[in-house]
Amino acid sequence: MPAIDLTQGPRTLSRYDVVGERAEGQTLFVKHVGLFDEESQSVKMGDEVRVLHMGPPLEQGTIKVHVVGRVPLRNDEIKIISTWFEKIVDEYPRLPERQYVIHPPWEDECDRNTRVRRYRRYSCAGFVLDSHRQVDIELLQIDEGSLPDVYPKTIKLAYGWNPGPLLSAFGLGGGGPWKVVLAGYVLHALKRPKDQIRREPYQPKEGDEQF
Amino acid sequence: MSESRTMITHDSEWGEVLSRWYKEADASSTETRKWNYGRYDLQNLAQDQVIIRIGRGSRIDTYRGLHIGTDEDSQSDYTDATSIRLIHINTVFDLAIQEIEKKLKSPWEVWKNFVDEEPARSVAVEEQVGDRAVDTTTDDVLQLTSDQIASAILDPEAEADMPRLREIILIAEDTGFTIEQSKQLAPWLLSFAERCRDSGDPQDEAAVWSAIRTGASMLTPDDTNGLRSLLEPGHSIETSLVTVKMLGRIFEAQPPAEVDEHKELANEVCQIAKSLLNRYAITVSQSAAMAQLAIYALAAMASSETQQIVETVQQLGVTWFTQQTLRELCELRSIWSSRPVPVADRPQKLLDRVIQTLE
Repeated sequence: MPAIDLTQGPRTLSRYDVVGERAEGQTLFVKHVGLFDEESQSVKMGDEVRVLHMGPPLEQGTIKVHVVGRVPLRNDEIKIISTWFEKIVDEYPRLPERQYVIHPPWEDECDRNTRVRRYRRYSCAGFVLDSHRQVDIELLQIDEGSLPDVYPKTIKLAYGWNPGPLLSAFGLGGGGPWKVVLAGYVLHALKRPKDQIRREPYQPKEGDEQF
Repeated sequence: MSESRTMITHDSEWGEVLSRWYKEADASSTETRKWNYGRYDLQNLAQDQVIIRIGRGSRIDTYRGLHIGTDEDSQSDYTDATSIRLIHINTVFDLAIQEIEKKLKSPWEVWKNFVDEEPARSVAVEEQVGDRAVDTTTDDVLQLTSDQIASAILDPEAEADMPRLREIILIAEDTGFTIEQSKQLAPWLLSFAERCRDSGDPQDEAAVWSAIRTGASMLTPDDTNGLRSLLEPGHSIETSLVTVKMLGRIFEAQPPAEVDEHKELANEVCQIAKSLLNRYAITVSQSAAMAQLAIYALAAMASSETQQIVETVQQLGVTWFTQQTLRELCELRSIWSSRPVPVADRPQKLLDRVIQTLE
């Protein structure tokens, strides 16, 4: 199954498949992604499903699923991602705002003097990307040169609030545009042949915020 | 029933940003909607009463609102709209209540559950949510400077107000301290973790783990013996996993100059790795995680025991576990090779050798 829109009918998902939720009132804009956190299960458009995701907070929670995609992952890879999650889960019982970043998609908080890592902040897409990196799958090219410009209007759709000075707290300084990794890009990365997903990261293009 | 969309923003430092959509609800309905950082429930009990519960992560704040009327509302005890008092509210709810007022087109007096408590903007509040109490974060703590955070933590009376101390410890993890502050804070934080891991209070868990991460991140390799007691298993709040993880991170950022510089500490980490390196233990994700963190720490501190440990990993023949261990050791090599100052020859060679064993 490539990445699909569930209007095409129900699909059976496996653990750590990628699930996405669209913005309300926006038919195609994907505002959020996470990892499906159940054993094999059939889901249909709008079902509320259990996910591992950076809400924020990073948690085992639920989202309404509208779009789905998968590599697919092998059982061994699922074990690796589960083990990785056990290593970081102690780092997230904190204020949701403090564990979240928009740009870059992940960022380590380090001690200022020793540079020892304390914990990692994520965006929702960043968490999905990093989980796949644990099994050596680079879903997206995330270097700034590879990412399309994202304008305040799109940020407003993605996050539901007016861009303003507060954005700098999440890594978006100035008035934009920014090179932000958006949730929809992850679905486009998964809408490719299996071997290509594993072989090379997808280069997002303008318009990929919709799926 | 039409759906309207409302956006609220607030320019505080961390932007208590609320964005949500709600339906025009019937007076008696309850609705649950998502907002950026969790969920809220809005329940209209009657025409003049409302309950709002705002979930933020593991916290749920519950508020009650009472219609206080307007100048046109002669039945109300409150005829002066300017007498609206907003007591004991945090920023999020402040914003939320503005939206309720917009929606209902009348002012509301609000107070936090439970009604009779004193306004308390300067201390953490312990609330009862379901069967367990949770801390909520007060605005003042978010505004503290590094000096104020350090002073608050080191205050001899700090533990008299545990909810506040717990939240300050969490905030400290996001704070940059000077070397002088770190020298005082690190031993205090690690000692706090050691004292509180047996408190029996589940609310201490997040603060204990955070204290270990922050305290350990401030240590130089020469100070790492202070972490040994936190490796001990069997406490009500488990501290060994986060401690082993931090050991790896300390030496990853500050590589040793020689092999086996930290023999006693390495022996303890080695015991952990050995106890978990069997096919039964590593089927449990948490045990597998602990074993890999221990191997990473041993390699990072350049313990000569690492070689024997990775040979055990090879003998286990569990492909995914070997692959993941190898991947992480390769990451360590990559971190070391990106340092402006090269890692000393023998630790580097030891790491290269153990990687080769697993390849």
